[in-house]
Amino acid sequence: MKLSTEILILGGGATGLGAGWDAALRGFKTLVLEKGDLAHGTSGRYHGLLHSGGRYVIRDPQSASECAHENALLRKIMPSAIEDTGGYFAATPADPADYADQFAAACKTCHVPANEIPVTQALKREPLLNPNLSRVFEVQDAACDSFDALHLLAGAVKSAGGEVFLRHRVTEILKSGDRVVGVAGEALKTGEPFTIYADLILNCSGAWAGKVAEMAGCSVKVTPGKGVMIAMNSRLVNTVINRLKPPSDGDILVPVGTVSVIGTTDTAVPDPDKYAIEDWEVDLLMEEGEQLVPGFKEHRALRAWAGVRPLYDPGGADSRLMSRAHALLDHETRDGVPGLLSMVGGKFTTFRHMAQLLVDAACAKLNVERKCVTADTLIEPPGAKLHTLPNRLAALERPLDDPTTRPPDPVICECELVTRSQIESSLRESGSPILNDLRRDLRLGMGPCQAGFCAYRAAGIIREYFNDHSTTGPPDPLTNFQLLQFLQERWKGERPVMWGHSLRSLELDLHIYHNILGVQNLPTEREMEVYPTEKTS
Amino acid sequence: MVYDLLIIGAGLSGLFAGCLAARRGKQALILARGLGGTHVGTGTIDVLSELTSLDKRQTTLDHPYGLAGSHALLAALDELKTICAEAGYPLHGDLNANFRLPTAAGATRQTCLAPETMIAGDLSRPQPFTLADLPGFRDFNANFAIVNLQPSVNSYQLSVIGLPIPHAPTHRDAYATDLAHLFDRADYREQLIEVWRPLLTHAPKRIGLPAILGLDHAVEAKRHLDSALGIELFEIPVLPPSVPGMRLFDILRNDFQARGGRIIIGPTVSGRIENKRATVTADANGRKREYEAEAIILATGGFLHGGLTGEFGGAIRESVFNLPVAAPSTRADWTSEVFLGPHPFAKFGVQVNKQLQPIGKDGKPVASNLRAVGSLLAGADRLSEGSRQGIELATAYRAIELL
Repeated sequence: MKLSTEILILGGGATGLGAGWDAALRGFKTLVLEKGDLAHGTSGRYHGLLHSGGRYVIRDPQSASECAHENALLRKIMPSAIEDTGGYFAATPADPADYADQFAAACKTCHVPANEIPVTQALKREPLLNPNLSRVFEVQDAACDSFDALHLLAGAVKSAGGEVFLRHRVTEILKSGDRVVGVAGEALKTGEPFTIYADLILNCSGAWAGKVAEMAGCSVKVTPGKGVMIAMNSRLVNTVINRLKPPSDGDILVPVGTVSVIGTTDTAVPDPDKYAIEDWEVDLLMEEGEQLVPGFKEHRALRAWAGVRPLYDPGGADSRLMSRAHALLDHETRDGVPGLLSMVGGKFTTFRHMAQLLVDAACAKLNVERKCVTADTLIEPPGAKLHTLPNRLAALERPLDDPTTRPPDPVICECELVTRSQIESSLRESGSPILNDLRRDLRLGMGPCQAGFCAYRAAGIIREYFNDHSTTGPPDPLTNFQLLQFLQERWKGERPVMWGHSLRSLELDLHIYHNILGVQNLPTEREMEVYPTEKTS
Repeated sequence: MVYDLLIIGAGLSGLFAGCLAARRGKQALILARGLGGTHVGTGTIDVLSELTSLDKRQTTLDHPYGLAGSHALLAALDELKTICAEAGYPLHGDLNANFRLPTAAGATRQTCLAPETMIAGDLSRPQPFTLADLPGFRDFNANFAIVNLQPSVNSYQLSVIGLPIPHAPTHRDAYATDLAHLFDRADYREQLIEVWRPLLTHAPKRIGLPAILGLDHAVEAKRHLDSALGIELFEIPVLPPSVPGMRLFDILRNDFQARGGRIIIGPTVSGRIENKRATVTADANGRKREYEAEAIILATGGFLHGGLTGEFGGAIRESVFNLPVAAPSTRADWTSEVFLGPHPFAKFGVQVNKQLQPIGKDGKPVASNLRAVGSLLAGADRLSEGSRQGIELATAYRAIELL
């Protein structure tokens, strides 16, 4: 495959898709390349917090102001991916007493709205919180489902005329003299090589930006900062709760969908593709959760996962101290390599702003003047609804009012209310037989049973969909492999929190898959692994 | 009243122990927090996937089979077969050879005893078969199963046939139990025969379907459909709830109660050991009652059924008496990186002596009137071995023998 485009974006996370959307809206012929699936990287592995900015007011005032601004803006242009939970900064007895006043003053300076409220008022709204809180500030945090956000963004890129290619891995950056002119790589689904020429390439690959820049012969020092998070099996709080203290491990609890997420740790890792969740990280997060919600450890932890922050700090500080700010690198002036811009650092909440800066710079490079319109353009299609179980339930129940028209549409994943027709339309749209892609698209297998019941059901639907109900021919090692790989991927995230009810749940899952279904005896072929093994998710 | 025997747990081992005791004229009480493992299993009796290695297991006291002794397994299987046959639900098979039965994913599973409703599925039989695809039923995928099964029967071509289930619930998804209630009714089966007959004209006569053939009248249902349609049906276990498992539960409970046994399901049971004697307290929503018994059998199962718990802090606990459980204190050492195992936690459990009495660190029994049986016992990876029900039955049998 050979293509050419005006703007080529490497990386399909929030920043890359945001830049793709922005560039397409400005009329550029735009293509976004992602080596995995949507939400495969850092954007899909964060705790789901749309920052009020409060977390950064003292150490990183510029980030704080940007967050506050973008937070208000995203609520207008992407409401269906954002739940307005509100947020608290709450001081527990373990937090430094003098921090509250500094915090209040800094919020003012940074224009981050924060109002102190009586502790009793906070406890009335969040009865599980530590009753010994000393001070509470209300801020404008929200919960953002990044899976939904990224799917909406990818849709927005396409409706603006751009294209998004998933599972396209870049292996080479093509140059003409010093100038970057395109990329070559492999379409992972088909194994087909591709070459894409572009007037300008935007490197939006986050924690992988250093690796991409290196292919162009430029040195960009991105420190992948691993952050571990744990999803608790219920909404222990309905408001985002931040600890009122300097940023540290386990200082935030975010209600997202049906779970609440406690995060995060922060450790620099050498390679964004190689990291593990350590026992001490899980223990620490659970202990910190105990400070916010007494009895936290008695609640069921559902799974743990990690994401890698794309930290960029030429000064090279400790990863917790490194700035969360973004930096735009012009490789022409910086390294004498024209044709390539990199956006490094930054955070999910400010993706639109980063995209704007990047495409502004692209306009300057291409000598055109086109105004950014993303601040005033809806990302989502009309009628988009916040993903909640009640919304899904309502959609399921509506046809029941008229029994004559109700087509049989079995609920395949009962925890997240995913139906057979949703799975079939996702398969139709993506053409991907990967169960994990269905998970990211539909939240299949993300609820309390962690795919114990739906993995078998969904694998059968995939088999039927891609084989057209044929019962002849050889056995189906691909579907078998997908099923086994999906179970293994779910297990990776469950294993770090294997105690209490999770251990019971494991024994049930083993009953089902090992004993009742005997999947360990199914034929699979390792060669079937045509897609790169996925990391802990 | 003071019972001769108090059993804690209503899974296969607890219920079977109760039946055996009642059949020997003992006054027994079963106390259980909830329903046991029967409802999530396959409804078959797995003794060992590799039956030929049974002797090895039975000669070592590290394994529950060794503690129970070979005679106990043999006698237990015989007595269970008698109980089930008397209830009109014969179990077939013996220790000479396992059945090779198909799973709902198209794998093969080995089991020692299987109910009459399943045995026609034995893959060792040379006749072609077809699998029934029941439209809308989520928990059995005939297409998925059939392609995987084809190589294990390479001498003939397998196929799938769509068979509608009239009157299945339409206001929600049907579970196996919903369909089983329909199949229990003779009048429903008559309707079904009319609908299915024309569809089966050209189909192979051997037909596999998910395990939904009825809860109370499964064998009757199978024989009715078989003879009216000229076919041979067989059931394949599916995702829980397990209809064949529930049949075993019902048969054992009915047998126990018919012989004067009493069963209370619901209360939280906690135990105490004083002066080497165990007593238990049942707490039903705050109403507490103490029970004493000449003998107590602990049959609370493993992690899934609450007999054992693994704690955040790294301790593994037996839930009723807090009996000692030897296990590593690092959580990461409980499980393996591979989901399908083997996992170290599978062998965790209560250590007992040859009398099946739980022992302390000194190797001596912690209480003179307490015995432990079934999946609670240490030393066997039931999943990898395929030995769960065999151990449950053999140890329950041995415990009753020792009374």
